[in-house]
Amino acid sequence: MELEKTVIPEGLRYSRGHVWAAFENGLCVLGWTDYIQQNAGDVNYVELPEPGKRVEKDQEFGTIETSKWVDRLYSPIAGEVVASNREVLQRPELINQAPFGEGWLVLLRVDTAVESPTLLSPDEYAAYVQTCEER
Amino acid sequence: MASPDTVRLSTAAAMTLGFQRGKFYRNAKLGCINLLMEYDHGCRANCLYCGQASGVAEGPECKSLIRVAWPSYPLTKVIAATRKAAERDPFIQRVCVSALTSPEAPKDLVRIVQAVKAGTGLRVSTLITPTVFTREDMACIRAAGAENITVAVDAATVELFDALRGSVTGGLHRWARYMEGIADAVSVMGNGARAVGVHLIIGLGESEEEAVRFIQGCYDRGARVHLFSFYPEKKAALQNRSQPPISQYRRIQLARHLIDRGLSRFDAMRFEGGRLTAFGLPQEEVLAILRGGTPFMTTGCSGCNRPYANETPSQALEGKLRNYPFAPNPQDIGMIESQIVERVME
Repeated sequence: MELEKTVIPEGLRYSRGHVWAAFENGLCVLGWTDYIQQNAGDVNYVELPEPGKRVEKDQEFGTIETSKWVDRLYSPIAGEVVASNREVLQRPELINQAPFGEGWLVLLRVDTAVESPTLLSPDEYAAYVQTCEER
Repeated sequence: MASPDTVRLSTAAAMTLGFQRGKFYRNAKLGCINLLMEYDHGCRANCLYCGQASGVAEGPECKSLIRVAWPSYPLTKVIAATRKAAERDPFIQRVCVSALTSPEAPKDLVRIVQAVKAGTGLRVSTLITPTVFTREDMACIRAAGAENITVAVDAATVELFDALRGSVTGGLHRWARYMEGIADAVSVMGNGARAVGVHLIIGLGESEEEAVRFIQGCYDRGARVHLFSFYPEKKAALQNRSQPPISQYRRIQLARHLIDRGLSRFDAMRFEGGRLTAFGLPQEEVLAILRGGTPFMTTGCSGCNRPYANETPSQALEGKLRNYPFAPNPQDIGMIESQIVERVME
């Protein structure tokens, strides 16, 4: 089955775990990329951390589930959870419908203003997605 | 939209055939394409644990069955996609067609079986209800090319059957006719051919003793038993009922396996207060069989593995995968062993 055209917005950073990150003023929003939401199927359940929880780089911060699949969500950056998107807990389909908008997952107050070197630029993520497709 | 021109696909089948996007946890693969017949009036039965029950199904658009949605497609499209998918991946080895309780179902099922058989060349199983399928209908299904006939009895005792899908619910099904139906199917398909199956759902209110007694009875009639673990379907009457404890399900899986392989029998096993306490074999033998993992794989016609049909993927992630759609690995075996908990005794 061919995937629809994958959206990879400029101005974001991406992890190899298919999480996008948007940085601004010491805060970082994390979400699920368009590539993985297309690939995984319709999300029917997501588990997110409570505000105040500390998340380390590459540490699990939640899980996401479709009818036949589940995966853990790993944070590409360390920080403290400021907020989790309560809306997607009630309407997980938002993660499929608007992965870069209403379907955001968590807001972190990050430890450092310096972005993690393991985060990918949009072009790097596009190349990574290509290798995922070729596997 | 109606059969035989259209059928519904399980979510797993829709994903496997490329009609729907999605991934399988742990890269599970589907070995049997599951189809469900459909009619504008829906299913005439009213089984309280089923999302297709006439009392709750909200008409033909209700698509829920066994935890997932079942989208509708033209049969010709499904057959073409199945043929291509099976050519690409020989892991796909069978198609199963489930009939609704409806007077048109017997003749329509024959047409579907013929079309699927001719169009795919794969083995075909059928799931029928003796309420509307006679022995003659079953003979026609066999003549159409079906290699297996399965009867979804689901409940282990007549009392539960009546309470959940029979006279008490205002449903159409009757235990006596279902038992006759098993006999009809064995007569048509051949005793000893292991071509007749019976579905049993664990967790509807039966004791372990009742479940194992029922399983033995089926085997003594010439039918094999395929196990399901109850999962509360949204909007079904039993939506608030809990899943059975996994330890209970594991014991039944093991008992069923021993009976299926002729290694033990109900009358050799021991029960206390309805709970299975001994399997009728020396402990070391039982443990060796347990540690092989096979008893805990999905049971059904060959190729039927129904990935994540009785638990959410999140439950599977936690080690509570009830029917393994693939061979359990050593870590899985360790988890299974801890779930059975009690020492298996001679």
